[in-house]
Amino acid sequence: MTKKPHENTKLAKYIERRVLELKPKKSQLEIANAAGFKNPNMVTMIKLGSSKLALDRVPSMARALECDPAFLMRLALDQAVGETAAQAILDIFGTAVTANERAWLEEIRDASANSDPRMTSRSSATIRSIFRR
Amino acid sequence: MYERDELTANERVWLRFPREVSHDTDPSPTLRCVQLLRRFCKRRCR
Repeated sequence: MTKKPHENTKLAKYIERRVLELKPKKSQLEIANAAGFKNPNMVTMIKLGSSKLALDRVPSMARALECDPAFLMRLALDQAVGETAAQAILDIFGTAVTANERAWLEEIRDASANSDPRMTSRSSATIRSIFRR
Repeated sequence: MYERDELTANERVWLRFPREVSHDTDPSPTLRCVQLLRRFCKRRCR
């Protein structure tokens, strides 16, 4: 039986999704080459969860998958050290903000007239409903 | 894209929400979402 220790990680699922989305544009082999993998099966192994994505491979993989490197790094960190340890690292060193998150922050700053609003229970309920629509 | 922002403590909390609610899918701010956010902020300021 083949071992797939990283099968259900967010990163494995995300890479599977991106490969599918990019399918009309580039093949999995092209993605593997662009990411600098010597073994062309590496993308399949990461997708299936039999191998994890090395942190030093995140920048080239993000370019190959045409996705935000900060986002991919967060997922890779989760996969590498586990969700709790990854959160501790990000809490201490600061989290890298993706381009989309930067856009959200700018909207929040603008909409609140730079008043640095506190997250109240009402705000959190509203934000949740906005994202669920 | 590796830029870092000096985020306030409140902003860090605000950022955590899209991450959690979207299950880490990094959603982009659509026009509809932004309009809802603005409407909410406007009501809050009244």
